[in-house]
Amino acid sequence: MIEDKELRNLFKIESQERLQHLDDGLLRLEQTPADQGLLEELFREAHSLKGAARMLGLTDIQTMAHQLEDAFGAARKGEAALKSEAVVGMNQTLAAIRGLVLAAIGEGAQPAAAVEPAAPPQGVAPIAPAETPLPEIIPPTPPVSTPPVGSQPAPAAPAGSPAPRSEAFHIETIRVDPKRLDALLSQAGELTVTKIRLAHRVAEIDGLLDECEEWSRGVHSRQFAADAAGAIVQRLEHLQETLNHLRSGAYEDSTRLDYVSGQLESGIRALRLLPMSTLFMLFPRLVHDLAQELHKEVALVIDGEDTVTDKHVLEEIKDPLMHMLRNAIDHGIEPPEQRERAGKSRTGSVWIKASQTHDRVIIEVGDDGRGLDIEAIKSTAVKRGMYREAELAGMTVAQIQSLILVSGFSTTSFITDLSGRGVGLDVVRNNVERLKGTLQIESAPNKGLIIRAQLPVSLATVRVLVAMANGRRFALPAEYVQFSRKVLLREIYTMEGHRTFSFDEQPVSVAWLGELLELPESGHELQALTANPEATAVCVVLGIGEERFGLMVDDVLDELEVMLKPQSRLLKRIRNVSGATILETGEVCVVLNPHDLFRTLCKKPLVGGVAPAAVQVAPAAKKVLLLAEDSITTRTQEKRILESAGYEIVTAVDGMDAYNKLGLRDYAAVVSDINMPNMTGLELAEKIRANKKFAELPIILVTSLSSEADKRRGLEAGANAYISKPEFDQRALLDCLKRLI
Amino acid sequence: MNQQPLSDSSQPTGVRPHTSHSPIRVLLVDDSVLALVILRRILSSAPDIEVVGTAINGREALDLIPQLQPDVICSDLHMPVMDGFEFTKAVMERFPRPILVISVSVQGDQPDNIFQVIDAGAIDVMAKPKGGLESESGINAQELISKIRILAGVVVLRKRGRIEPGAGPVSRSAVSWNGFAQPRIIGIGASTGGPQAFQEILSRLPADFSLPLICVQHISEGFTQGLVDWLSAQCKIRVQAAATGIVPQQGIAYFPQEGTQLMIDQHGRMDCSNEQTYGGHRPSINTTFTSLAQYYGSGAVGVLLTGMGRDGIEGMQAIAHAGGTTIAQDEESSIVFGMPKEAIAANAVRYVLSLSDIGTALARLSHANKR
Repeated sequence: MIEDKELRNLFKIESQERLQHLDDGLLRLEQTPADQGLLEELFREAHSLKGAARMLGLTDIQTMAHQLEDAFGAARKGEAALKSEAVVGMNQTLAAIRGLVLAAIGEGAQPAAAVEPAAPPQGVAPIAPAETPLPEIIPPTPPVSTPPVGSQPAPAAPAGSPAPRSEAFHIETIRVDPKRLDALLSQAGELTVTKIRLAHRVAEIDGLLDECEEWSRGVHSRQFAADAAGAIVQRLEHLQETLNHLRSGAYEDSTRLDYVSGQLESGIRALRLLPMSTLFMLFPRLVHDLAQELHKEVALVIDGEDTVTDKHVLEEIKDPLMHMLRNAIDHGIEPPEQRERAGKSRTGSVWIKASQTHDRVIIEVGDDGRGLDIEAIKSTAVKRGMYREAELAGMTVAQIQSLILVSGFSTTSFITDLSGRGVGLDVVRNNVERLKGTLQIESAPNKGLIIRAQLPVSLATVRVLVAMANGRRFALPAEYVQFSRKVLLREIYTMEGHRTFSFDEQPVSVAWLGELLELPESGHELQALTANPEATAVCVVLGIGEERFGLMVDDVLDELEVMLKPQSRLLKRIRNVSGATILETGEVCVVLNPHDLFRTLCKKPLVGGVAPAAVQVAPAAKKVLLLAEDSITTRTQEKRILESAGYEIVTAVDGMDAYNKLGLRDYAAVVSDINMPNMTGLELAEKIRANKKFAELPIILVTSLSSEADKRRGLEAGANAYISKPEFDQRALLDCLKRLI
Repeated sequence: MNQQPLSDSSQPTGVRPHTSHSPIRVLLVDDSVLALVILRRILSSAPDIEVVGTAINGREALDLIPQLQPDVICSDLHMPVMDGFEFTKAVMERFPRPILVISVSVQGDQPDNIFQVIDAGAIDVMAKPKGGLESESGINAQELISKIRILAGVVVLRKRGRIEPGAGPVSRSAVSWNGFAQPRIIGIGASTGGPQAFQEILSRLPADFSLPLICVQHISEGFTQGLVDWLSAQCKIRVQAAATGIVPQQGIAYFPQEGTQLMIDQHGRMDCSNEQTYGGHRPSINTTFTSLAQYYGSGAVGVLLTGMGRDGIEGMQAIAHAGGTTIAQDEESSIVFGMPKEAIAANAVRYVLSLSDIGTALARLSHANKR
């Protein structure tokens, strides 16, 4: 790793830019292998990367970048034609460089504390070659007299998946046009002017005070009587004049300050606006690789990459967009043969399009694939117990289509961690909602599917309603607030175990904010209040989608535009709180999260009322899982995770052992590794499925093989879910079990 | 080139001194911010050098020159918008001043030959400093600093055109070649400004030149092949890297292989196996010239061209003692009149000639040899 922090950061930024350019360029090179301009650009990028690596003493990167440079250089001169295999080789070299760069910037691809010591030789076919061959070149004439440089194939980082999947997308630096900075600086200069003017005002006030003091001294020294009334009037007039002057000055200052601070704010906010291309440039590679893995032919069209949006929106929207693209390719686009049979072109088209209205950015991901299958959605909804057939019959097509956005909904029966490990479009929806955006779905069978996200351009400020509860101020995001009204406490009644109030004859669940937040003082006050039948409180009614609920507060104080400051990164999440802000008074005010409040409200039994009838059912006998894993470390680790989640575990050291233990107990599911001696996980899954008795037994494969082909093999063997180890975290496994059992 | 670091106290001789005590103002141009930071750090260790500005391409740098007035410009070669080659041409046209091109070597193919920037008017080229253990104090860093110090003393003329034959201190008509032993081999040594001088001399030699030439140029790591290819493309005689065990052939100019000393062994064959530095240089002019004097005696001709330092003085003395012919480049045509001056001072030089006269003189020697 590069020790020097400054250089490390610089190298990180620079190498990633260059790698991205190389990556894009190689993709384009596949289409136009003889594009001189492109080869020129690629040559320069490889050369510059080599230079940077050299200056940091990163010899391996230097050598590999040199190989690329040579290959581009030779191709450019027309000395050696680029074969498509050569481009594949270059892609591998690039992937290897990427791995080395990650290690150099300390985000190393060093294998995570060996979960699996060494994969046994037998088992599935190897995923990727362990070595990166040199880009292959056919020189028509022998080169003049260039000694071969680094003729050894350099060691490659594990190829295969092009980039770590769940890596957070952070834009760490922003390029700024110096002119815009200059404009900001001149505004800051204006501030200085205003500051000086304010200092002047203080001096003027001091003058006034002096004058008053002098006057009052005069009064005390009894010269007062001697003063003629005329002199007093004169003094008063002077005083008035000075005050008037002071007032108009102060007014001017305040206007000026308003203007300057407004300019500064909008200027700074504009600096955070980045073009979509910052993000979209990641997608061609993703689509290319994914289409290849899934044996589909896909053309990606990107449109509107110049549309600008806040840096934060870009960062947060990356995962949802990737998810939508994956869905489009995985589930939307049909295999080429199938498309031909359906009278479509072999190549499916997937597009991602950004456009802008005055305050919103619209990003659309579409495909011309098979579209949504209304019947499949209906039957899944029934199977998941979300709706009854009769209810579904009364819904519009759009309503049924939007069910795919609901948590826990997925129409594919096979869970892969690619298209969602037990999660699907609901994650997309959550992310978009977190950005205060909305999602729309448009689909026709066999025509395709379009998912459209509407997002705000800038996120820096939010409008909030400041309410007082139990003597504290809380802010509620104004966009959720429908109205607030004073209510008579005695008109509150109980319905289905919740306090309810009828607004215009619509029953709305209500709760005291203090109570929901479990504020310490909430008890007595409430009792005192409820004791008085004529007591009133202010109820703020919030709407989340179709749902409404009311929050009882002492008072509503203000509506403001505030900067939302996110909570510290040390805290993963605080229930009911989305952040904090500083009020004009300087007081820190917590901004509440309406989604959470609503969830809390739904869970909370009545305070002081009768305990809800729901009696906890005595825990059923523990479910038993069969766990097959040959590595003792991993086995122990997984066993511990599963046991702490309340399962009873029977372990097996390989597939054979697991198969022999199948008959012993009545298992709820089988969790198995793939690479194991004697019998692999895939063989185990096949054997289990071959036995009618276990046809319904859920099988989850947990493995380090994570290519699409591996996943397909898993599916073919009869597994229900597939979780890859690099992404293995207990939540994924437990979620998956919960869904399958 | 492995020039010996110059200590601060010793003002290098032969260089028009940089205006008294004000620091050398340097402008850095590189599209890699990383490179700019590293170069800046290296230069910060030299109290007499001040980085007055940085730019990320040639266009940006051009805009900065009028206000910054740098004494020396260090530029990368491959950059977007305006590359080092175009930049050098523009600087020479509008604000002539010394340019040092810093780049990782590219294989010596013509479209990218770094020596084209020499054609365009850059004074010197060197490899990007190598990182790692010795990054900021290492040899590369010292090389950079010393090159900048040398370049700061160079006056760049608007048009560095070919120097026409004219009256030198000893004009060619005054040189009498009679009475000397038959020349059998010509050794030429140069440092800063050498590539330009080699180009000038070698390109004037006819294809049927009757003597072998052994050429030594102090050069940064990785550039030897590029230099050979560049010269070869412009000369009628052949220019190539020396190979151990071969007897030097007439009409061919040999340069030592990368990182080696070129010597003539006792059987008259070239030997490139030695990797020891001599006086801090590898290749060293002294080493090569001394071996020429030893094997060819009075048949050796030594030519010492532009450059800073003392390499070549001993070698010239050795040739002179052996009865050979010694020629030094004159001050007027030298980019840096250092080594020739020292050699003249050491009484090791028989003729002081301008660059163009040296070419003519060598052609005559060849003629004399044919007779």
